Amino acid sequence: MSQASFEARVSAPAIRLINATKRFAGLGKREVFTALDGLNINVQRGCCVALIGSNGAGKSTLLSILMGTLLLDEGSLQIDGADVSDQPSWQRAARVALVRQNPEHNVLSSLSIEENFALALMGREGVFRLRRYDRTAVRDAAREALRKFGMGLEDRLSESTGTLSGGQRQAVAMAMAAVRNPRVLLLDEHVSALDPKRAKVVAEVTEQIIRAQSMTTIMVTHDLGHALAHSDRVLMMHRGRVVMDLSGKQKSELDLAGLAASFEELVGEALPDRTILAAAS
Amino acid sequence: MVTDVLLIGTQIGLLYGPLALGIYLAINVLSLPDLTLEGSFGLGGAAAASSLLMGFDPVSSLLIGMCAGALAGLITALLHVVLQMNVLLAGILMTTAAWSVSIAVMGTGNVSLVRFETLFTWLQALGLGNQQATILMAGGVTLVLALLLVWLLHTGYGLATRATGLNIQTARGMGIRTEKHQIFGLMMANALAAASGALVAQSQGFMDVSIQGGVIVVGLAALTIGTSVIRSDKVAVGIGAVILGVIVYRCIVALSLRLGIPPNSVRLITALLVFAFIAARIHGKGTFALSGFESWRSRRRKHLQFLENDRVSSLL
Repeated sequence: MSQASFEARVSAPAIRLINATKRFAGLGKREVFTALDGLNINVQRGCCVALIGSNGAGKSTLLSILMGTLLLDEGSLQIDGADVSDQPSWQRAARVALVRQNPEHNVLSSLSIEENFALALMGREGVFRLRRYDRTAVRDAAREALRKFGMGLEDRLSESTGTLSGGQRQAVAMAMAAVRNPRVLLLDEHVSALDPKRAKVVAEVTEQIIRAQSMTTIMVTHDLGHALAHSDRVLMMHRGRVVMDLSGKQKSELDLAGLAASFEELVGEALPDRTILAAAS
Repeated sequence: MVTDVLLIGTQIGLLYGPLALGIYLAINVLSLPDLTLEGSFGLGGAAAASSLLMGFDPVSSLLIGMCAGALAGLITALLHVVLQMNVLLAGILMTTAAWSVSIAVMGTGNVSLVRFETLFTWLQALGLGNQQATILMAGGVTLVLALLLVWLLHTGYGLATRATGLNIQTARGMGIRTEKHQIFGLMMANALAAASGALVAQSQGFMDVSIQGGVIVVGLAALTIGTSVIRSDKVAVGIGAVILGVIVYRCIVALSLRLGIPPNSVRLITALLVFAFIAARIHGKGTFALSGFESWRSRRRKHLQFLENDRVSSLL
């Protein structure tokens, strides 16, 4: 690689979407649903972006596109300056990690916690060798990552993840993402299936991790208060487009009531009562 | 009579040991219901018999048989991965084709190996009886292959293969190239089934293309019996369970033959046996519960739960 192109890569944004378009075939033959409509987004390195919007706005599609489980119809995607538009998800796994909403999809139940971590660590290097993994290294890394959640999981490494509750599985999933240390972390409502207490713990530790390891993060959330409090930048999507993009001073001037008002105005849908109550209080 | 039945069951069961390992790998580990195993069993026998006729030694002919099976597994896997065909369908097609290929490999429907050295005549030359030689040799081969499989599934590579069989999306998200593991896994599973075919051909002293008929059911019986008796997430325990399962299955068959049930009914017995073990596993003691009792009610609830969770899946 020449010096110039190396510098171009270093200064490139962590995520760059150019004219990203994704359509799904509808029920009728000619009916087409446009999930992403010519999106152009740049995300700077280490930035934590909250992605909000109503159902069907294209948030989850965008995360799938970034992870590689869905491929773009048109446009391109660059991660750290490298074009990954045609890369399958397993090739992106060294750079991108996704924590899904459903705890069952984040860990492999019937494998033990230790084995899940072993896979996460091997996946970071992208090699699965024909020999036993280094148990001590895996257990040490797992223990250190799990201790932060304070759920006592660090002492249960040999247990099958199938015996864990949803909140514990999400904690394991986040800890696995932490040891993988990806450049880009994608969070798809990763605390929405948890009870408020557990959700708070997992969300707080998540933020510690992404700040400490300066991961570029995109988190989808329906919780506007959380979006406002825990991010550097708020993107609002509606019908496959970005309708609001706030960062820096603009974002810090906005309070929850203001955000809720502009959400209703831009999206044209009422917010759930929960959010309105939170905004009022 | 009991010792007799147990010895015959163990003798024949161990010949089918590698097949049980193949079934375990394909169905339990990879979650791919690969019926090609039946074709690979015949193909392995045919390739091993032909190589014995061509002058190869018994060990090499066993390995050649396994390679033939791996090839069949490779084609099934490619049909699945490249042509996006359902594994069940690809397996049925491959098994149908394997019948003709087996005949083509041997040049005829059956060949006699009576005058050739086999793995088993080696041991018989040391003064062992036919039954002892079979138990020792088939047990040895099964043990070696089982240990190899346990080792493989505990390596980093094997762990990725297990992840592939559990959840493809999650596995890919962890950086695992799942299609590669499906291809390699199916090749291994079919090589194991072929090893069984080669053992059976060498043990009975002739190879007939019809030996493949219905062997998938033997493997399924081994799997249901084994996993009903011993339930565990641990690979080594699961592998031990299917080998035990195939021995138990052959013991039951030997017993029913000894009790005077006509040999033509063996397949019916097999099917009933599988039903019985599945019923016992799913409903436990509730299988025989009478209406109105507590166990009947809990069985009914479990059954309703199954119906609630049932999902459709298309074959084509």
